[in-house]
Amino acid sequence: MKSSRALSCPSCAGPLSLPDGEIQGRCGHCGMPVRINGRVKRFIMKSSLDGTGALRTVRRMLCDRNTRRGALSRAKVDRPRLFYVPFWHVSAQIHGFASGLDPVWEEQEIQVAVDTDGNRHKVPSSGVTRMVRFRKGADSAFREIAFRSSLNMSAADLEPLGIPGLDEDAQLSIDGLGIQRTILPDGLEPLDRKPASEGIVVDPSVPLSQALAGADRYFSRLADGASGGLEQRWSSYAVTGRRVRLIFYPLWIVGFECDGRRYHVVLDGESGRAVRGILPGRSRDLNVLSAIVASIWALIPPLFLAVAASDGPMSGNAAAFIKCLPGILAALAVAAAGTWKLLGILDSISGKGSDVVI
Amino acid sequence: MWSSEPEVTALVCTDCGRTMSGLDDDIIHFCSGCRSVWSLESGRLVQFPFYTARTPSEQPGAPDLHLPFWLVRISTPGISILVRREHTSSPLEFPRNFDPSAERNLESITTEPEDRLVAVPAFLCERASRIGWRVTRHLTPVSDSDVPARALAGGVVTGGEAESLAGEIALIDMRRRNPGLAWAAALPDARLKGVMAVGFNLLAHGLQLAGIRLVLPYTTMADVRALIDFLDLTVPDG
Repeated sequence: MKSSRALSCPSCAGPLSLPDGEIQGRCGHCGMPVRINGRVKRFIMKSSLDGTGALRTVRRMLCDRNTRRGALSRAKVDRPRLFYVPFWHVSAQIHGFASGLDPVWEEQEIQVAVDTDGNRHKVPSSGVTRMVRFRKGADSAFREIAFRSSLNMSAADLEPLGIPGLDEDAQLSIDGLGIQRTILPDGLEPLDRKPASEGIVVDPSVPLSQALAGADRYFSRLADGASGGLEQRWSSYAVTGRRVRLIFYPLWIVGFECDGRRYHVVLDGESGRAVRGILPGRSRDLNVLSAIVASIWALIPPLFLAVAASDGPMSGNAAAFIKCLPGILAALAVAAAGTWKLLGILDSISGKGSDVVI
Repeated sequence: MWSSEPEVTALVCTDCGRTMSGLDDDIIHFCSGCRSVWSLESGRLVQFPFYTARTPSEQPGAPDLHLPFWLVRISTPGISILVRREHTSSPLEFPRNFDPSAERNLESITTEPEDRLVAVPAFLCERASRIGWRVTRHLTPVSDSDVPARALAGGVVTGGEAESLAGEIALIDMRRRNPGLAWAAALPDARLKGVMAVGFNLLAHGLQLAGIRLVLPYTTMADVRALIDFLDLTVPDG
């Protein structure tokens, strides 16, 4: 995975070779400190999970009680693949102010009018009171805006893996993923110093300019929030010290085939937890169970009739048959109602999805 | 085209030929040989006039660290502003965004013409506009001072960003002189003048300046170690 790009030293014109993740270094020939322009410092989160651990996790999931019985023995699991997916990390400080009017409220206890005589004629009651908030006026307010913020944004499309993208508008966190919209995991290392020994580093497909524009929109929203609650507001702020990093985050993808279908699971390389995935569900087991239950149920009426015909009221004694007729009809009605109910249950079981989606 | 951004920039002072060191995000570089200041703009080093200011601390001892401040010239022939009284007794609700026709007791003022320098922190810190305002008030840049040989820490705020932040600092000052400032017709015109080094006695006072905590410029990830090495700070283990 270690890669380098040859450039020439502006001082001695000798070949200059710096690892991809570095933006600053020294010429190997003349020792001149140099800066590579237009590059972004890169960091990587090393995967604490290895291939064996990823396989073990998926095998454990295939033994789970929610997954299909025997799926583990039938599944043909591929070799786990490690991907380092890119995220833009933009940080900045925002300074400015917001001025406006801050409403002043006053609480007063007032008497509540009650209908004492039942004639919808309400009169103030001396005993019943409640607190009411009145707007008294407004104070001139001047609020300082001063904060630092950062934002992580997906630099590659992860939707095909079922992972929603992180951007300035993302409201939901990604369950199970160590990197979130504003949270960076601990343990990031410069990409140049300890290159990953295995895994594929995914190139960013979202341009830096797009990430910066998104971050600026996000910072603007935060700055506008500082004047929340103010009326007649007027604000002004400056975003300074923008710094951009490219973070590569480890994700394991384990694919497997089970009962003629392809499945995959995405695992967080840092925490080892499943982020997204599809596993074979238990609906096939339920279908077999449904068929067995339906067959047993279907055998009950003929058996009942056979017993009745041989020893019971239908064996020849007409008086006894007439005497038991209401009971027989009631039993048949109950059986019909039960059958109707059972059909509904079986239908709902067979209507369920055949896969477990994480 | 000659004007395209060069791929590689040599961090060398073109005045004296000495190499300049800095951290990855540094935009401002200091040449300790000829004591000149350079800013990296579009891949090229641009020299700026260099000034110094005495440390605001009265404590004895040489400063451990010199932090860079952009000096920005603020000039305006006078700005039209609206000022409101401290308290408005109206029980009515006002619109969310400023509307001069919604309020009655707004006073229209034209500020005095001004032409002065504003110091803008070129490093990252918690309350940059307030620190800049205090440094502007208390320190005077001097160009012929004996600049200590100790290197000036690099800055990460670009010249363009410094100009916009200088406008905010000028507005804070304007608001102090005009309490109840509700609106200004324009921000003051800001132009870069140079870079000023302000000395801090970091080890004696911690990361404090005028009661405001400084966040060192390089608190992200692995850069902390680089800054500690750069400053030769002794950090206890654990």
